[in-house]
Amino acid sequence: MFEDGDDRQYLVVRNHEEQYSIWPEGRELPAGWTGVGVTGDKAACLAHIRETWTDQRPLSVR
Amino acid sequence: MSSSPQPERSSRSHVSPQADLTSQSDLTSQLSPLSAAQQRLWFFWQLRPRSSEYNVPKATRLRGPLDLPALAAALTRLTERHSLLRATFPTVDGTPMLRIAPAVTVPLPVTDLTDLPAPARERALGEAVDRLALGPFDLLHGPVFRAGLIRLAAEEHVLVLAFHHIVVDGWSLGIIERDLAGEYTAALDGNPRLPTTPTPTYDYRDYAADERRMLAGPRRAEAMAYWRRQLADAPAQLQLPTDWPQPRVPSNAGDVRSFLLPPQLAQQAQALGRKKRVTKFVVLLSAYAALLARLTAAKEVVIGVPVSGRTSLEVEGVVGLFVNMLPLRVRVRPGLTFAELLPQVRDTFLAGHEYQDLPFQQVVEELAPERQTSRHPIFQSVFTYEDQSGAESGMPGLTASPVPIRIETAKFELTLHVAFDAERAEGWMGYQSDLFEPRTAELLGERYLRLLTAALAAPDAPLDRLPLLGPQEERTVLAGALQPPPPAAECVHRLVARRASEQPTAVAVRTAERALSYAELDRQADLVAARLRAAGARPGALVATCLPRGPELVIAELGVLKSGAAYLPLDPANPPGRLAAVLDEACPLAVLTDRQHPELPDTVRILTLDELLDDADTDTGLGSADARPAPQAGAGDLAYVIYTSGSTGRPKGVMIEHRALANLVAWHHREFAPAPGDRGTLIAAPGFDASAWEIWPTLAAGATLEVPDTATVLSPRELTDWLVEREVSSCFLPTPLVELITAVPWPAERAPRVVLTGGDRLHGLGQQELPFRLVNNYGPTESTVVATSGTVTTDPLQRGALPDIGHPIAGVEAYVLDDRLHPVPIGLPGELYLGGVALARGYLGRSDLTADRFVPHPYGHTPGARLYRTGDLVRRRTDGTLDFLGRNDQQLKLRGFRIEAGEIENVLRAHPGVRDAIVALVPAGPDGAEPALTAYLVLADPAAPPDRAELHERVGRQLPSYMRPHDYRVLPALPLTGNGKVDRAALAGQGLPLPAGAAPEPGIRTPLEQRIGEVWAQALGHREFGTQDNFFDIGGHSLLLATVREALARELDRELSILTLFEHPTIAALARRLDAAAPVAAGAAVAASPTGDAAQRARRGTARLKALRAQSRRPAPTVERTDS
Repeated sequence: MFEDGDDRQYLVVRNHEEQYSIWPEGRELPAGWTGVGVTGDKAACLAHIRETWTDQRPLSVR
Repeated sequence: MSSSPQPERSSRSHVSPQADLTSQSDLTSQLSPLSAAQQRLWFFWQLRPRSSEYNVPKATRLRGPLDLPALAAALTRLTERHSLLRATFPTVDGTPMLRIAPAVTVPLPVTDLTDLPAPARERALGEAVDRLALGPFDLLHGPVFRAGLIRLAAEEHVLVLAFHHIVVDGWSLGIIERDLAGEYTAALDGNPRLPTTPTPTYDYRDYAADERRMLAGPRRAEAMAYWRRQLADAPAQLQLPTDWPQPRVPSNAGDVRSFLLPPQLAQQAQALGRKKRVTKFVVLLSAYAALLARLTAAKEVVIGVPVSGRTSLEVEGVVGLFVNMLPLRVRVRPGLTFAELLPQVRDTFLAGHEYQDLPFQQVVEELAPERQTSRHPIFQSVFTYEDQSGAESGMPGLTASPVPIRIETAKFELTLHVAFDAERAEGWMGYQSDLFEPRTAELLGERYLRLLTAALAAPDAPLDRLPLLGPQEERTVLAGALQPPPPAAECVHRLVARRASEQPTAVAVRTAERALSYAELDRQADLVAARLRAAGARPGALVATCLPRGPELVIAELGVLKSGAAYLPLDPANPPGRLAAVLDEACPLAVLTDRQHPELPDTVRILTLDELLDDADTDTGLGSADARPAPQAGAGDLAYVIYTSGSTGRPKGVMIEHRALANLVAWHHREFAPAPGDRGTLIAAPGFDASAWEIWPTLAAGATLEVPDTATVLSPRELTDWLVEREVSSCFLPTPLVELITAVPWPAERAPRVVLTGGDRLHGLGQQELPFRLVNNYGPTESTVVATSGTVTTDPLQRGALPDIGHPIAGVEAYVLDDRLHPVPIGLPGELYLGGVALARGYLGRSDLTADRFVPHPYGHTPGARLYRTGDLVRRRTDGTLDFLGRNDQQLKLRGFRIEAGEIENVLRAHPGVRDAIVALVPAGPDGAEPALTAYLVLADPAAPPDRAELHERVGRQLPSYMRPHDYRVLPALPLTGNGKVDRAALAGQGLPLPAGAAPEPGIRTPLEQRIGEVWAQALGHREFGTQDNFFDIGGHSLLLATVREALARELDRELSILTLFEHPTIAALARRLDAAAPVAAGAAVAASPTGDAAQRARRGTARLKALRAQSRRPAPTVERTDS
C-alpha cells in the first residue's frame, strides 16, 4: 500500500482539520476522512495536494 | 595415558554380559546387520546416550481390579512374540550389530503411592512416570524396553511402557497395546499359551536384509531419481519467525502445546475431503502447509511427513522400526486457493508414498551431503497424523485412559501432530525451546485452527487472504498505545521558566569554561525573545539557529520558544551548500548565530547572539516591549523544525508541535525521574532531534546540562572518563558510540544511572554486567525523537538475539501492518506505523510529502487521525516488545545517521559527467571492515570519466560528511530486476573503481609519513590514499579516529591527542605537526590523562574549544560529528 510506482488508484482525502492525504480507491475510508473528489494514480493525487494544501496548519490552529 | 603395552586384537567385541555366556561362534551367528534407520538412531544414541530424545513412552491409567501376575506374564509373552523387544546392539569392530536374545524377562517394578495424600500423590505420579518414560537406555547391553506400574489406589494403576525408538515406531505401539491386552486376557483365563492373534512369522531381521538387497539393486536408483527430481531447487531452509536465533549447537530441548479441534471442524474437514476426493489427513496437512507458507512468506515449503514404511502385508503385525520420513514439497503460489492446494498435496504425497522404501537418510546423504548448519537437512518442520477412531483396546475389567507424559525434547523445529479418536480431535504444536517460547507455540496452534477454519469455510478464497489472527490477538496488536499520553502537558519553555524562578542559582548549562545559572539562562532567553518579537517572531514563525553545542545554543533555542516562534537548529559544521539549501527551503525569519558563523546566504537575516544580548542590555525600550502582552505559543503551535535526509534529493523539514515535545518531556520525566541536582548531557549535534531530547527534559526537571567539548566527544575513552568525572546521571549516546563504550570496563562507582541510546540497530554489548541502566530507543524524527523504548536486559543477548526496541512510549501508538494495512500477527515482520500525540505536523512546505507519509488511520479511536508510515520493518514479540528488522525502502542507516540514498544520488546525477547514480550501503564485513557508502555511477561518456576528487568535493560542498560516499564505482548500466526496477541487491561489489584524478598524488616521502600511512591503512582497511588525502574523505570517521590515536601512540611511542589528529587530517599535515613538536613537549601539552584533576582538564578543554573555534572558521577540514 502507498508504494511508489504502483498503478493503484487513490483518492485525495481530507479530515476535519483540513489535513490532506491519499487513500486507495475501493477501500473503506477511515472515520473522519472524506474524499475531495479527486482520483488518480499516486503522483497525480500528490500533485493535486501540493497545489491545494498550501497551509499545513491544522484548522484549529489557524 | 598408560605406558604399558596393550596387546593388539584384530577383533574387539563389546557385547552384553548375557552374551558372554555363549560361545564366540554362536554369538556371531546370532548377529545381524541393522536397518538404515536403526544405524541412524544408533549413531544419535552414541552422540547423546543420556538423552530421552528417542524414547518412545506410553503411559496408561487403568481403573478396575488389576491382576498383577497376569500382567507380568503378558509382558513376558509380549517379548516372546516380538523379537526386537529382546534386542541388544553390541559392536563388532566398531560396527553396531543386532543381536536377539533367546529369551528375556521384563521386570515389572511396582511403585506404591497409595499412602500419599492426593496432591502429593499426583506429583509423585508425575515424577514416577517421567523416570520410567524418560530415563536413558543402554543399547549396547539392553534392555531396550522397560515397564513399570504405579499403584495409586487398590483399583487404580498407571502402566508405563518405554522403548527406545530403535526397536519400535508409532505403528508398533498399536500392535503392542493390542497384543498386551490379548495376552493379559489369555493369562487371566489361565491359558497363556492361547494367543488371540497369530505370532508374526516375518522377522525384523528379514526386513533389514530385504532393505539391504533393495539398496544394492536398481530400485534404489529409481527412487533416488524421483527424490532428486522432486527436491531440485527446493528451499533448503524454512525461515520460520522464531523467538530466538538458531543456536550454533541445538540442544533439541523441546515441549508441546496442545489445542482442541472443535468436532464440527473435523466434520467439515471430512466433508470437504470427500468433495475434493482427498483424505482428512490431506486436508489437515494442506492447512499446515498453508500456515507455514504464510508464516515464512515463502512460495514453497518442504514438510516432513512420517509414513509407516510397512509396504507389505506380512510386516503389518511386526513390532519394529519401519517408519520413514517423506519430504513433501508444497508450492503455495500467490493467489492459490485451498481447493487448489488439496489435490496438489494429495498427488505429491501419493507420488512420494510410492518411493517410501528408500530410507530418508539415504536421500539426505545423496541430496544434501553438506550440512553447513546445525539445522535438520531438507525439512525442519513435520506434520504427523493419527486416526484412532474405532481402535478400542481393552483389558477385561479395566478402563484405560492415556496419561500425558512430559515432553522434554523436540527433533524438529516445529511439529504439528493431529490425532483423532472416537470422541475428539486434538492438536499438539511441538517446538524446540531453543527457538520458540511456549506462548508462541500456543499462538501457532491458534493460527492453525484459524486458518483451517477459514479455509474450510471458503475453500475458493486465496490462501494469502485468509485470516491468521484470532479476535484476542487482533485486539492485542490493534491496541496501538499501551499508555495514554500524559494529560495536558505544558509547553517546555514554561516549565523551564518555572524552574528558573524556583532555583535561580542552580546551574542550567555547564561547559569546561562556563556555568550558566537558571536565572541567567532565563534572563538572556527573555532578552533574545524580546528582540525576536521585535523582529516579527510570533507563534507559527520560524527562527533558525546556527550555533555549536553549548550554552549559547540553549539560550537561543529557549529564546525562540519564548518569542512564540519555532526554532530550526542548523549544525555550523555542515557545508555552506547544505546550510543554504535548508535556509532557502525553510525561509526563517532570521538566523541566530555567533561571530564565528560559517558562510550563510545573504538572502536571510543574520542576527548574532552577542549583538542581540549586548544591544538588549542597553536597550531602554526593552521594558516597554516586555510590557506588551506577547502572543504565546500554544500546544498546537510549532516548537521546532528539524531537517532530515530526503529521498527526493532535498532534505525535508519535520515540523514538531509543542504538544508533541511536551509529551516527550512528560514521558521522560515519568520514566527516568530526573531531578534538580542530576546531570544530563548535550552531546548530539544541533541538527539532530536527539538534542531536543537531551535539552528539554533535563532543563524542565531543573537538572544541569553538561556539555563536553568536541575533542571529548570524539574519543570514546575520553567521553567515558568525562561522564564519570562530571558525575553525569543520564546521557544519550548514539548506538555506535554506546557499543564502543560498553566494550570497555566501567568504574562501578559514579557511572551514570541511565544511558539512553538509539539511532541504529543495537548489537552485542559484551558479556559484562553494565553498571547502568541501558535503554534502547527507536524513533523517527516524525514521531518526536522517541517512539518506542525499552531497557536492555542481558538475557536476550546471551541467546544471541539483538536487543529489542521496547514498547511504544506514553502517547505513541504503534501498529505492525502488512502491505494491505492489515495487522500482522505477533512474531511476523511488517511495517511499523506510528500514531498518537507525538506525530509531527508534516514536512515544512512539502504538503505532498506529508500526505504521502501521514495517512488516514484505519484503526484510530479519534475520527480523522493520521498514521505515519515509518518504512521500518519490525515485528512484535510475544511480550509486546518490538524487534527492529531493517528498512522497507532505500533509506540507509550508517553509524546512526539516517540517510536517504536519493539525496546523495541527486547530487551525483547533477554532475555533467554522471548519467545515473545509485548509492548503497556496504555492510560491515566479517573481517571487521567498517560499513561504508558506495556510489555506483553510469557515466555520461565512458571515455571521459569525471575527476574523482572533483566529484567528491562537489558532494562535500552540498552534503554533510557522513553522506559522502567512501567508494565510487563505474557500471556500464544499472542492473534491473524483472519488473524494471533498479536491482540494488545485485550491486554489491560490481563495477570498476572510478579512476582518481590525473593530478599526481604526492606519495610518501618520510619514514614518519610511512608509519602514519601504515596505521591509517590498518584502520581504514585499504591503501587508496596519498599523503594529501583527508582522513574523513577516504572512509575515516570520528569513531575510527580513536583507534588511529591508540595505534599511532603505540607505533610512535609517544602521547598523542585526538585533537591533533582531528586538526591535522592528512598524513602530510600530521607528520609536519609531529615533527615540529618535540615529543616531550607535545606530551606535556596535549596528553590525555584520564586521572588528571578537573582544573587541568578544564584548562585543556578551554584550549581545545579555542582551537576548535579557530578551526571552525576555516572551510577545511570538514568535521565529522559523532553526534546523532
